[in-house]
Amino acid sequence: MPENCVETSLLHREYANKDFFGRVKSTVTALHELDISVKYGELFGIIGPNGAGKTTTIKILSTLLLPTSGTARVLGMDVTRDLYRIRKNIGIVFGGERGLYNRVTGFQNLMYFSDLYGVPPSVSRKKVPELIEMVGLTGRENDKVEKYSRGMKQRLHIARALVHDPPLLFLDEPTIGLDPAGSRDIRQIINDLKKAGKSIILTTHYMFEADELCDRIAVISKGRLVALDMPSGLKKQVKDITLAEVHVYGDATPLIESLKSIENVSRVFSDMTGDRTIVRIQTPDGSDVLEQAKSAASRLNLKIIESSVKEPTLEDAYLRMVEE
Amino acid sequence: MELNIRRALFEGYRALIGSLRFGSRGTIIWDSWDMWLLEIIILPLAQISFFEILATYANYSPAMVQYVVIGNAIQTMSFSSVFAVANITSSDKWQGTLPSILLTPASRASIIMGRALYQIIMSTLISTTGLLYAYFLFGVNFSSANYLFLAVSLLLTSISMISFGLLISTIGLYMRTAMIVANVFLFIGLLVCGVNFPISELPVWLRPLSYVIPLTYGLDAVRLSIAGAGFYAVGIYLLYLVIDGLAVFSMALLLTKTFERLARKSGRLEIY
Repeated sequence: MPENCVETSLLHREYANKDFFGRVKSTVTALHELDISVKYGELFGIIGPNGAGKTTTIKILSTLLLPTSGTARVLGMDVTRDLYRIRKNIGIVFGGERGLYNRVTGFQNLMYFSDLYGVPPSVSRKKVPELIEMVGLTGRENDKVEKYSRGMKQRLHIARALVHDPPLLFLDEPTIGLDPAGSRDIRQIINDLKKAGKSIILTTHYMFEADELCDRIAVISKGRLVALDMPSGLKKQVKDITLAEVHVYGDATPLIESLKSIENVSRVFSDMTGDRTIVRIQTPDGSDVLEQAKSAASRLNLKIIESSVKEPTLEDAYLRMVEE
Repeated sequence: MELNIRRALFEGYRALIGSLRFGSRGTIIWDSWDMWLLEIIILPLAQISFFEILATYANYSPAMVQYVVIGNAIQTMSFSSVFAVANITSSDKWQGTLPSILLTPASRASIIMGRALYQIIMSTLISTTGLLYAYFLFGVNFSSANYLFLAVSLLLTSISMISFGLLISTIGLYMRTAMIVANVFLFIGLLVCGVNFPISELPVWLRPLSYVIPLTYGLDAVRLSIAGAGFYAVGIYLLYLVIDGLAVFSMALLLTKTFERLARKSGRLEIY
């Protein structure tokens, strides 16, 4: 058996904008000569900003979209030719609420997809209740899907992708739009699937999620692979920066402006949470800059609630990579 | 090899039966009894009444008014066999289920046949109700009717028209929706299939279109069955109906594959 369940070589995809007469007006490159390989049993993350090419990659690997050029092999098979065999051996979960039959029950959705995957009824009658239990929908399986919450729908999506017990799963932003509890449930399910030996390719916008779940992560920006490493390896790429963090009450705009003028500050960004503003300062010299930030806040009569110097996160690494 | 064929047949059968069971519940917008009754009872009455009054107003002869009544009683099945069937792909696009369906290894023929089979019952029921109105409310003479031929004609017309609906449905794989085309063909059917006047009244250049749409042969077979025509007279139209239905169905399967490939190439599968 080959070592890798997914291999791409110079995988390239362009979308053509055509006029009424079918003439190409312009082309957009969604994926630029992507080279990645995913090992069997690995949980492989693909992260990148909106429009980076994550979903395009998943669509090509799952046979939903043809590449413009390059090659992609899934479970040793060519995505442009071996459609039937690839489809029998992969499961795909799309993020969001769409993609389920809302006017029928969760159970009926799963039984229908079992039929479409050619699962014998004797198997699906046992398997479907097991899946319902695994994703925590026991007791709600006979409700129409239109009555499900967003989190329940997402869990049903995962169960649907598993009705034929595929060895390889594609999860395209499976926690998008979910509340923290819903996201945590999905992450737990993903962890369980990995422990069960599934190979998983996950795309996500949430850096902590990628950090927590993935063995390796590919960072894609504007269709190009900009980094590929373990989460710890990606974070090492920003070891030269630390993060000074100051929480203040009220509008911190003047503070942010003054911090930008300090030497060695590479980036200042902020978040409003309730009545406080969290100001984060990227700099190689965190302790010194933090003291300067505290002084600046005092001068501006801003009350400091808390302050600290933090190690760089995957998000810091990601932001630097996609902005370079 | 034999094992592969047996497995393919089993998988095709599972997809067909699953889609048949699921089709009416999961993919039809009007999935409640009141909507079904509205379609079966009110729709044929409204359409037959409109064209019967129009024919009377236009001073049609009594025989031609009966021609119009029977024509519209049968044509109403198009709402189920063409419109609802054409909606299958579009409905999957709206619900976002099309990619999930197309990512299964199931035979496309099994899925679309399974989804559409239920509409055979619906469209046959609609036209049967229309013929009951024709008898009880509009005075159509059934005294010479051969009911066996009539039943076979209705059923084969329904099956062939569903093939036609499937053909239109395939367009939804590539275009945003097939519903515009389905609407257009509902009215083209009214115009060219001999619903309200014989196709001999059509301009010569338009007549070839009449012979493409199965409804033309179905209407001839039904009218001859009601008039009490013999086996050979009705049978030839039933044969045309079967040949046309098979040709249209084969075309639908071919276009399904073609449009699916084109949509994979262009990335249009999810555009709705």
